[in-house]
Amino acid sequence: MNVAIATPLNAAQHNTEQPRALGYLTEAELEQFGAEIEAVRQRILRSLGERDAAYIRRVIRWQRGLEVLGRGSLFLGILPPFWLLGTASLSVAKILENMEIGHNVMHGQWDWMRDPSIHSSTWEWDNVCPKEEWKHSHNFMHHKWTNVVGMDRDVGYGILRMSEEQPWHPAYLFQPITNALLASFFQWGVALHDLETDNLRRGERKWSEVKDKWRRIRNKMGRQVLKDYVLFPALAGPFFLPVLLGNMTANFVRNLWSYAIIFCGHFPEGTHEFSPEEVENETQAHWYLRQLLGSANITGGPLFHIMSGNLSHQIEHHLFPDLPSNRYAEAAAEVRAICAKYQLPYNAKPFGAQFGSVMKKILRLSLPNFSGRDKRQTPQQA
Amino acid sequence: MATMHFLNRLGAKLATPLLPSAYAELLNPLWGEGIRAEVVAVEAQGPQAVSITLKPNHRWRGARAGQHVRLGVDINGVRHQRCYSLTSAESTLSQRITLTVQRHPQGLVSQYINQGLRVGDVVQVSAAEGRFILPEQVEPLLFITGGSGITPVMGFLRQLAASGWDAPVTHWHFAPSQESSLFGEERQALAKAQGWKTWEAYPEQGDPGFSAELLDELCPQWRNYRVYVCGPSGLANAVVELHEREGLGALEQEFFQPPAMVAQGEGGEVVFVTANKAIAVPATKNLLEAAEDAGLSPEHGCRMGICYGCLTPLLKGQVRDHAANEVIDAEGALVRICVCTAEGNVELAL
Repeated sequence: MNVAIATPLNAAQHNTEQPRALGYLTEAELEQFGAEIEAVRQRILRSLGERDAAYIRRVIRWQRGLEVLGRGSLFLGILPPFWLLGTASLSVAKILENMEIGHNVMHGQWDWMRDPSIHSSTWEWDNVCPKEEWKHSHNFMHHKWTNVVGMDRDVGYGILRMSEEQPWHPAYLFQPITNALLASFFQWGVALHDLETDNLRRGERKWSEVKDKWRRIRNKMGRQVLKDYVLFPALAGPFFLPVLLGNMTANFVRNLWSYAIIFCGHFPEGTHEFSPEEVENETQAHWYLRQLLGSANITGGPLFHIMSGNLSHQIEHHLFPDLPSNRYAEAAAEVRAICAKYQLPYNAKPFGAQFGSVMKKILRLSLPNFSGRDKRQTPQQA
Repeated sequence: MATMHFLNRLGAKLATPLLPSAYAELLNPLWGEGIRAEVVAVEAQGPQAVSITLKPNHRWRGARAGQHVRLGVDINGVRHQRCYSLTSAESTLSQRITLTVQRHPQGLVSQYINQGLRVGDVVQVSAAEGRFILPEQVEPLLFITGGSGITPVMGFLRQLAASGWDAPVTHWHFAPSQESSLFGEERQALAKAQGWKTWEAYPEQGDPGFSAELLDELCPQWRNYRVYVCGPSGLANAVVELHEREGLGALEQEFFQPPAMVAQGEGGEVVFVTANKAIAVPATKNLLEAAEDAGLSPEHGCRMGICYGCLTPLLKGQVRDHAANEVIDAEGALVRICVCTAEGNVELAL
């Protein structure tokens, strides 16, 4: 379902009226908006219980069952139907493990259950990025400073130009290729992300500062590679190769899928970027507004939402990163209604539209900014 | 042995970042991580309590009579842990254990265990803990118990009967009424068969309560006995005071009620440094609950100051430990957050 981006104000009104936060809400409106969003969060928090606990346990059981099925079938992978079944099951298992389970558990979405085996403090995921590095680069840097160019390092991951605000450089001409490589090796990119290799190259960060991080990342990479590319293939004996290829394919599929979903979260046309000045002394309500404006949803059915780790509800995930993901659909209905009330944009489109617009942006920004085009999105433009 | 070790290590490398038990659990919930137990029987124990029989998994290492376990149950999706004394005699690796839970009107967990727990459920169990155990050498024993304080002593009585204790055993139990008295028939039968002395009193119905005079009358030689007490604080304090007054030193005591949080001071702001969260906490709220209110889930066990499962470094400020009734302000001191309240602003390493 497409939702037209609201154009609440015209430029003339702007000049005569009191200042509006991020161009949308007066101070009084902003506070009221923030309170309504917070009320959604509180209502859902209070209603958490048995049903939600049963949901995450069910997803975990399915994920582990699919993984066992996948790895088991791959041992017979010399026969094409088993190879296909095994690779498909393992791919789905790895996607669920990363997105609906790992990412969300590490956000603390299930900490309220006080079950130490499904807790943000103990969870480690099936990914070459260690939990510590992920929680810093993602839960803190990205979720706190979402889309603030220069602060949120997920804007281009330090290798892509995803905003007109980032200065152009001839190296960005190769951006379509860099992008394809990032998609293919996404988990490796995510793992190295927190090292801030661009800052290391520029000398803004010393190697000695990241020594411990690097050791942790290397160890995690070693364990993952040993499992998927050495031990499981070796256990298959003469069928080493089909198992190796199946595991590589599953990791590749998971990389592509998680890359595609995550890039649809903040980069489609219509999502806003922010300057560091705009987030100075930010209130909770202002943060809520910024999360809304900086995120984009993908519409789809229940299975699609689960397979995307409910990041298809990226807006709700950014408003409520600590609410259980199975509740985002219900939160979305309420958030959408609140947005309509305040005439705020709510960016929700099907996967094809969002992903297409991100790819276009990547191509466009590989070239210098076209003259005549405003650098920043403003409400009037959007 | 070496083969097992190798297989375990290989299993861990194949299952990384999880453990093989995460997959074994798919086949049988008892094969999951940690000590778990299946509920194999639930029986009413009078009108206000149930006795449950548990079959622990292969990780259980056994228990001595009188010890307790932390039982973890999920209520409305949330894990709750409470300590319960085992009522079973000494148990080895594969033996079943029993415990009895009295229903408290405000007790979420005790209500759940009384009404919601079913045969076939799987619960979390800690290793057995506690120093409330029988002596190594045979000697005369005096047990003074009140209410559900009978539970660990029931384990003793069963153990003594099973092993044959070649010394006098005397038991004095206080209960609200005969109807609500736990294990009444079994205790009478054991005493009769073993030649033990046992009395039961219902002070709420006019029976005399605990007193030194009455104790001298019922068990004149008690000063030569090893004394065990478990019951409400009034009873326990009276026995402890008498024992000290007689110059007999320490006795064996098991606590089963959290200390009352008597407000002193005004509470304060508690900062959870690792989580980067702060919350204003009144003087009547313990720091464990405060942390949970702030959205944290600190490790803990009994929630009453006995298991030390919640020890947390105090970084700044002072706290009142209500179990020890002392104020702690030493930087870096490990405090039991379940029985500590804030005395002013506090920083904790959580």
